[in-house]
Amino acid sequence: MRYLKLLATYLKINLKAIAIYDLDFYFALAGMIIQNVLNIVALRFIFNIVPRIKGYSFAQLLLTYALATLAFAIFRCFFINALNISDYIHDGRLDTILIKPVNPLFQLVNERVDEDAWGDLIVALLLLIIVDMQLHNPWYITAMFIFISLFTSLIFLGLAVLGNIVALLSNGLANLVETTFDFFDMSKYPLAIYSSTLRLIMTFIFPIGWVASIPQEKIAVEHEWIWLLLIPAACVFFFILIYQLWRVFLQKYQSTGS
Amino acid sequence: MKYRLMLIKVGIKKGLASKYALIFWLFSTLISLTVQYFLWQAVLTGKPTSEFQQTISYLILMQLLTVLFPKTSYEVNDKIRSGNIALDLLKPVAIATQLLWESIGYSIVKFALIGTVDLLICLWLLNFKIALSTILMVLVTGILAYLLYFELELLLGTFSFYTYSIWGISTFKEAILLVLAGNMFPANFYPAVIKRVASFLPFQYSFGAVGMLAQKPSWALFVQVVLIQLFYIILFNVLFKILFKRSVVSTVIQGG
Repeated sequence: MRYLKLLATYLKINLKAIAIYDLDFYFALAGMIIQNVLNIVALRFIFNIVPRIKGYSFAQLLLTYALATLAFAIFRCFFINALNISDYIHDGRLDTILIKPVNPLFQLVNERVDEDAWGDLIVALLLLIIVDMQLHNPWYITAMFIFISLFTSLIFLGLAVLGNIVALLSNGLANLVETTFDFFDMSKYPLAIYSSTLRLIMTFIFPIGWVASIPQEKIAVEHEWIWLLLIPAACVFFFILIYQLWRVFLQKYQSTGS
Repeated sequence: MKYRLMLIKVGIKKGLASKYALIFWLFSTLISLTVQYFLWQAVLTGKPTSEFQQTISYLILMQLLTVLFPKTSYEVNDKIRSGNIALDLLKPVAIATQLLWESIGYSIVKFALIGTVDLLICLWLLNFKIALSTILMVLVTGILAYLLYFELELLLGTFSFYTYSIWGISTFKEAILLVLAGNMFPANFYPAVIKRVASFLPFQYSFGAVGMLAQKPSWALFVQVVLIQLFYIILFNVLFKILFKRSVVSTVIQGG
C-alpha cells in the first residue's frame, strides 16, 4: 500500500516534469510514431525483395515486431530510469537513494518516466490489433498478448539492471545498459532467423526470445494455453534472478564520494 | 591552428576518460551487426553471395558513420540547460568551432577502437579487395558527411534555446534519418519515389551516398556527391549563424 502511494506520487511528479518541456514532448511523441511507421515501411521494402523470410509472411513478422515494441514501450514508459543508474552512481546521487527507507531499485526506476515512449505504446497497441485482425486471430489472443507484454517488459528491465551491475563495479564510469536497445532489436525478429547457438542464448541466457518470438509461436500459432502461465513465470524468474544479483553487487558498492 | 589542436586533444582525452564505455559500445555495435547479418542472410537466401557481402559491408559502413558522427545537439542542449553557454560565449573561440574540434578528437578515439574493428570486418567480407580510388572517395565524402551532419546537429541544437530540451526533436530527426538517409539498408532496395525524394534532401549525403560510393565507385558520382555535400554544408552553416544570432540574444541564464 505504501509503495502504491509512493508510485502515485512519483507519477504525479514525473508528469509535471514532462509538462515543463511540453513542446519537446509533442515533438518526441510525433517522432516515435513516425519512427515506428517508417520501421514498418522499411520492413515492407524488404518484403518487396522476398515474399517470405524463413517461412514468415509480412503480417507474421509484423506481429513479432508489434509484440517486441509493445513490451519495450511498457519498459520505456515505466522503467526507463533503470537505464540511468550509472549516472546516479557517477554523480554520487545513489548515496541519497540508499539512505531512504524505500527499496533502492524502486526509487531508481520511478524517479523518471520517458517522454516519447507513449508514442511507441500507441503504435504498438494499434499495430497489434490490426495485425491480429489481418491474421484472423480472435480478440482474446490480442488480449492475451497484451497481458503477456506486461510481463515480458520485465525482461528488458532485467537486462537494464544487469547492464548497470557493471556500473556498480566501475563506480559509474561504464555500463552495459545501451545493449538493452540492441537486445530489443534482436527481439523484433523471429528466433528462426538466427543460428542455433544464438537461439539457445536468446532462450536460456538472455531470454529475448520470450519477448515476442515464443509468445507468437506458442499462443497465436500452436494455441498452447499453458504458455500463458509459463511465459510470465519465466519473465518473473529472470527478473528475480537479476534482482538478487543486483542486491549482491549493491552491497559491494563503494560511493564515489562526489 | 594551435587552439584547434588543443581542442582535438581535449576531445581525445574525453574519449579516453571513458575507455570502458567505448569497449562496451563496441560490444553493442557487434550485437547490432549480428542482427543485421542474420536478418539479411535470411532475406537474401538464394541470391548471389556477392549481393549479401555488399549489403552487409554497406550496413557496417553506415553503422561506423553513426558511431563516429557527433551528437552536438545534446551538447548544445546541455550547455543551455546548465547555463554553461554563458561561459562558452565569453571564450575567444566561437562555440561552433569549440564543438567541432572537440568532436573530431572524440571521434578519433571512437575510430581507433570501434572503427578499426568495423573496417576489418568490412574488408574481410569483401575479401580484402578494395581499390585505392574507392578508399579515397569514401574518405573524402566521409569527412564531408561528418561536417554536414555536424552542421545539421548544430542547427537542431539551437532549437534548445526555445524548447530547453532536445530529446523530442532529436527523436524526430532520427525518424527521418531512418529512411531518408539510407542507413537502414542500401538505397537500391528503396522504391523509386523514395529514392528520388531522398536524392534531393540533405540526409542521404551524410550516410547513404558514402555507402553508395563504396559499393559502386565512380568519379562522376563522387563529384556529384561532393558538390551537393558542399552546398548543404554552406547552407546549414549560414542558417545556423542566422538562427544562433537571433536565439542567443533572447536567452536568459539564471546566475549562480
